[in-house]
Amino acid sequence: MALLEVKGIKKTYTTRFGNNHVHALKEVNFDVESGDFVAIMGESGSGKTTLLNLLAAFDKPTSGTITIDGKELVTLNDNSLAAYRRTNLGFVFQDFNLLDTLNIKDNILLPIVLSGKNINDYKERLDSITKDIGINDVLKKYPHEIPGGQKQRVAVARALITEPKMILADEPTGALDSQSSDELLRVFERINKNGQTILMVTHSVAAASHSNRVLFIKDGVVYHQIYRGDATDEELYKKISDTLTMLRKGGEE
Amino acid sequence: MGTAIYRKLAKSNITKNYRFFIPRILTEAGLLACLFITFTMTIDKKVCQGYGGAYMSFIMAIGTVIVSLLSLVLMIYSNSFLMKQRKPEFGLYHCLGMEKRHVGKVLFHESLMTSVISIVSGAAFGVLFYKVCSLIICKILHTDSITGFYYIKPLSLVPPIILFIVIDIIAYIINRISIARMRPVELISSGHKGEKEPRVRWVLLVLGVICLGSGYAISLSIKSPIKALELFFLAVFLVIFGTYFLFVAGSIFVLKVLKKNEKFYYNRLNMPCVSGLLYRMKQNAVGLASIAILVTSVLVMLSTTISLYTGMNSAIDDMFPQQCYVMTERNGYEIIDPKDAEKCAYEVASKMGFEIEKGSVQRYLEVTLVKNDNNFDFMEYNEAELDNVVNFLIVKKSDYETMMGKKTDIGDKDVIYYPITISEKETPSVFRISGEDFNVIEKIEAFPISSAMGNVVPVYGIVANDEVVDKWYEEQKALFGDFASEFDERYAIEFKDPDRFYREGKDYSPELLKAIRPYMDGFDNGMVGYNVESCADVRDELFSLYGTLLFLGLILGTVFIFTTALIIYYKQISEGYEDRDRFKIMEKIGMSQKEVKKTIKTQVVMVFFLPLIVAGIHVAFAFPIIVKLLNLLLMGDTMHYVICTLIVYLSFAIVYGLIYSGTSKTYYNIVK
Repeated sequence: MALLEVKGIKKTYTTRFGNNHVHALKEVNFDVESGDFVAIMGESGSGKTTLLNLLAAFDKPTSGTITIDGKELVTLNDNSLAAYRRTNLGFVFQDFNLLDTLNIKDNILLPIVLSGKNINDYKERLDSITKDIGINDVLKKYPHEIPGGQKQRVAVARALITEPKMILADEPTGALDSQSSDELLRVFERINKNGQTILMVTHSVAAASHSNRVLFIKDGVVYHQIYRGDATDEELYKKISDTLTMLRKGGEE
Repeated sequence: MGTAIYRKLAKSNITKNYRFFIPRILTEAGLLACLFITFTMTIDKKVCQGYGGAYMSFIMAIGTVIVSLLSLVLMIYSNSFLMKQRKPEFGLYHCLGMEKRHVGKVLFHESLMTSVISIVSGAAFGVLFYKVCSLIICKILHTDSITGFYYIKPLSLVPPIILFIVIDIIAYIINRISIARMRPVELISSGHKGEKEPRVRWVLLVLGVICLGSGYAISLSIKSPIKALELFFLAVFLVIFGTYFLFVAGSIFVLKVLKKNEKFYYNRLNMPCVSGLLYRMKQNAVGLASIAILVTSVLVMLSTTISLYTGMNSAIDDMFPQQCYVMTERNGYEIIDPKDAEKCAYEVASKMGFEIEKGSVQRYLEVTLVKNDNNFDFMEYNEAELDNVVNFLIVKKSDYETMMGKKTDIGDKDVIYYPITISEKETPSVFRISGEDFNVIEKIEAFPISSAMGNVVPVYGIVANDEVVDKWYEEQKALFGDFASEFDERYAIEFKDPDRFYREGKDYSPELLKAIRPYMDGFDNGMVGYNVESCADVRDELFSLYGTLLFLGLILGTVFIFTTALIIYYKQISEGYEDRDRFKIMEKIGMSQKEVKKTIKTQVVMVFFLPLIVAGIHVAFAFPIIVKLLNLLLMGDTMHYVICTLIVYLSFAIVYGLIYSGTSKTYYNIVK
């Protein structure tokens, strides 16, 4: 069974007086296997963010089911949703979302503390993750004292600390320069090789070219998908941009 | 063209930023109304000539000054708060191509509008509440009405309005200057950049501990009411500075200690709370300290004025064992023959419809001694020994026997003792007076003579053998010379219905004074007015003094509560906007809404009720010194003050809680 199963997802927004329906997602189906690194691409307004919000259980679909590790999200209430998010998902956001009142170490440990676990059990993991990602020398600093690239790596470390089943990344390179982006994506590749499932929403071709599989969303449906196969990053990059060009043309016809 | 669009912009700004503007307008209107009330009562001639008006006009003048100063500070504070919150808005104007002078014009119209609204509504409130207040004050002063009191002269509105116009103009000028100084980049990106974690400021911490400690120490160590009066303001200043320093440095220190404790800190509720508070304190310590001080002053003001006012009757009871006195001999000069005084007293009483139960001649010597353990000595004393000074109210055995109408068996080495000062509980069995031991043969339950000094220094009533008293008299006469005490004598009148006399007898003493004047042998040294004194007079006096103080306490209390509410409200708003992002993040990485709410609540409650708790501690420590000051104001009943303070504190806590729940709603709305 796949780790994540998305079946017939629909999301319709209704304007205040109920006379205008906006279909953000019309019919979305896909699976993510454990250990996969999936990129979801699409232009602004294609429904990417809506999809991510549904996966993160910030929002509920109008119809359809999302199943993670055999558990259906719709059945959970607010409290268990928070617990679900904490234990199963790790988040990496475009704007980092680090707490400016906590130092780097505490920011990374925050999910552990919030789930009421003893941090002493996680000290080793903290050590190995931060060494692995290369931020072990800034643990005592505060978010405003380090550059954006490092901030995003801190966010990754925070996502990893709970040993989540899946990492959801929302435009993780969106606020980074190209070199920091590159470094971050290599971090993603590395943790993926260690078996971490990653689902990344992006509109950057460079970012998507590091993944194993790319889904294209357009007008609320999964329009197309590409598997990496044996292709190198560069070859995948070319494939993706060709597909995007094609999609755009298709849209204009 | 032009003006219209600026006006339109200003109008929409005010409606859109109603969260900031409405409290500001309300505060300005409220302050103006209060200022108008105190000012009118200060200048109204009718009030001055009326019942107790002399005090009122003076006390209200003080009130006017305080309210004016507070208005100035508060309006400028709220103005700068508004400007700070609206920086991004001005930044946007810049981006849209408005120049600074255009922004200035918008500001001008905004100020004009808010100013007009506040001043007009404030004046209306003022006129309306003046009537209510004059009813309240008539009630407080126990008078049915003061003629012409309810009519407001329009002229008395003018100075308060001018003051507020000036304040608004000052605020506007400050805004213009700050707009002119801003750089556009700052305007656009004035969202919060990361801030450094605050450090513990050790110097401030130590200073704070020293200031607060010595302030408290003054209050705790003082024994003499006169010293209390001298040192009270020093203690107040020490405590104010101590509070500021400790809020700024101490709060950070405590939070850092908590943070160091891993077991406590790494907890789902404590971590967001402690780290959030660390930053919150950095920005809000001064505000919180101000709230704590305001709350303390409201509490002290209300509890003292209320306890003075309500405790007055029993204080007068203590001062007047008999209801009326005619001085017959003062400082060794005979003023009037007691027989003549007696005759007049009966005549005037029957003329006015009062019945005299008993009249008696009281002869006594009030001397000052220095107390050392159980040794009492006549000696010169300096200020440092003020704590050890006591008064003896000495009555000769023979006089005591006539006064009481019974024989006593006081020997050469005996005294009868009565502690006139309530707080003086100890009863020694042996007094060592001027090197000689005297046995206390009887501790009596009531002394027929009261002392005016009973609340200032401890006073002992002593009855001793005539020769012994004469010896003491000579001894202190030799020591103090011209400043020595002399025997006083007075004719004391007890009425059949003391309560009725207390309520209705205020015309008795002037009439009696008139009646005895022909007998006074041309003795007139300007003190004649004080030669007849009755409890009804004092009641009258005290009612108007304490009543007016109470009224001022109520007005200032209201103003201070306004102030507190405004500061708290603005704090909630500014923090709400800052905390919003933080809580969003916590929700995103796995905190349920319920937990987020709980964390918010803990933080808000802690920040909110800290000043109230601190104020409670201040009031508790201020207790000894305030009791001493109340003693000076003739209020000797400590328990009564305790009860008043508790009631005031509890009612204030309720009001504070209401302010909290009102303002925290706004906060939650913003955070959500």
